[in-house]
Amino acid sequence: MDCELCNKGLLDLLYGEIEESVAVQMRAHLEGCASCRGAFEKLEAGRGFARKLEIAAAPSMAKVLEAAREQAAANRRARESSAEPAPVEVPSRREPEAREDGLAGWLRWLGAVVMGPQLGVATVLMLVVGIGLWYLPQLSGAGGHSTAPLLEPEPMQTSEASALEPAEPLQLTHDPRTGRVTVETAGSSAQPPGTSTETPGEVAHAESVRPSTEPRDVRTEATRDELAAPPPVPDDSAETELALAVEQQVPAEGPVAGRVQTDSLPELSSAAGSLETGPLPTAGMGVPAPSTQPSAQLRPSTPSFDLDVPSGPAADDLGAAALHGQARQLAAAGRCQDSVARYQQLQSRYPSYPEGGRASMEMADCLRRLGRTREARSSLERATHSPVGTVAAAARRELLEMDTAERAAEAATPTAEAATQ
Amino acid sequence: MDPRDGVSDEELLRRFNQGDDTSFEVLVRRFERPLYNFILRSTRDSEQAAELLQEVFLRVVQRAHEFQGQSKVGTWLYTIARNLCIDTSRKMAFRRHRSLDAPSGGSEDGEGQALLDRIASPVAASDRSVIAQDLSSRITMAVEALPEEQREVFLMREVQNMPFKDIAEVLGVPENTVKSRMRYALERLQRALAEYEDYVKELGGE
Repeated sequence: MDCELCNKGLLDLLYGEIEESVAVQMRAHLEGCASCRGAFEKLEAGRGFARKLEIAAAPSMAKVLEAAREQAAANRRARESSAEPAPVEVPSRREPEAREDGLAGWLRWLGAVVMGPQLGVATVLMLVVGIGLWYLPQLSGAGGHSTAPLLEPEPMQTSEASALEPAEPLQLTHDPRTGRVTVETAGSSAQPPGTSTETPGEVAHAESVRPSTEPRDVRTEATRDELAAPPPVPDDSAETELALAVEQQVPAEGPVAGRVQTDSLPELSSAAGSLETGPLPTAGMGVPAPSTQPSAQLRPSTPSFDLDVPSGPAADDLGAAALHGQARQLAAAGRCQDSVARYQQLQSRYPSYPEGGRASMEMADCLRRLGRTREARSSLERATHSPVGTVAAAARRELLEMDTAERAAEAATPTAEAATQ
Repeated sequence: MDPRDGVSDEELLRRFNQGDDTSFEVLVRRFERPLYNFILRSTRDSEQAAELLQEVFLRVVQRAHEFQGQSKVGTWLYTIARNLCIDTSRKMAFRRHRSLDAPSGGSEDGEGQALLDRIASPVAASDRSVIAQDLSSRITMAVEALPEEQREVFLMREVQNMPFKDIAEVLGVPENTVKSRMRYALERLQRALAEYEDYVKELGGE
């Protein structure tokens, strides 16, 4: 045995924790090795002192023993109350049972619940939905469509009075084939045809309009036809007056129907006032305003609206009366060309217009003033077929007068020629 | 002689868990004195040592059902006692005071000269009774002056006669480390009490 191995085993040799055979070898080595023997002697001396260490007496353990007795009694009661068989020899058997009680068991149950797959999936779904709802407004905002106007509509920018102010003259057209009356404002002229406003009769006039600073672009279909063919309209103000006149021809039976605030249109006030006091062009124009009239009035910013109304005699009469009124106004203004166009439009669209005979006589007058006597005669001849007897008679008188005048003119012409010769 | 003296510590504790309070009394008798001295040499206060000893056994009473039997009852008791001593020493700031025996280098190899080694023996060994009384106090002082790692190993080994393997289990260190600490402790005592070697040899097995 070498010194290193012996030195490692000195402590085991000292306390007798070594095999006897090894101990014999070590003692033999110590006999011949002074260094190892000196080390072992030091350890022996130290242990000699350790054995002389005074061992103090332990204090009383009465308190501990009393507690142990109480605990033992509790253990007995628990063992007797339980129906379990006699405990096995393994002392650790109670350990798992103890773990099932108290906080440890509760935590184990809680962990099993929280980590359950169903609850986990539900939690993930809730998170996904919540995050989606959170980012939804941002995504919709990026798309350019905002739901804010739907949720919070802008307050109306007009008062009740301003809502009733006419913005621009209405442009009224009536299609006898569909029975629709189309009312358009200047702002709606650029809109596609499908968006034009069509209302039955007075509903169209009940539409509120506001004064507009934009150049008025009132165009009826007849006007557009005229614009397509010369001569051009020299002045739009007359058309504006005519459009306003159309509005005023509709009797206002509702509380606000047909009411026009003419203060904002001073240039139109005179025409409107004259028309208000004027007689209605025809019978049957006083169609009561529908109940939807007020609500339609209170839509201030609607440039046009399209209402499907049933076609019928009332609608036809209304449209014909409107055109008739426009033709009369143009004629009164000296615009015979435009007036004739309105009369022709009236006759083509409303061949059964009750006042068609009178309109033909009026158109004949305009044609005579334009020097178109042949056309004037034809117009008077149509008037002679009017169901209204007085009109037909008047037309015949007019024709006779024209014949007389023409014959007199023909007779006077040779006399004049002879005189010159 | 109590017939239960031959019963193992683990069996005594199992019986206690079944309601046998006398088994726990036997267990207390086996461990109370070495445990008390182990605590006393750590705290250097008899009253505090007594309180801590009671606390050790009370904890055993309360937690006896938690004992799994995978270790020995002795190692469990010393583990509880050691932890209590450490907690108490922290509270009392015992460790703030530099140990008289702490080597200057702070290493376990014993190369540094301990402060106790530089203190001259105050009493001459002239009279046997006086020498014996003085030796007892000097041994106690020398043990208490040991570094804590060495002292706890020394006490478990010399007072409780606990095998090095069990000491290693209590301390949670390798067995060779325990043996090294024990060897340093014995060598330190031998150096500190060298002047009493002849006297102790004369006493022999007394």
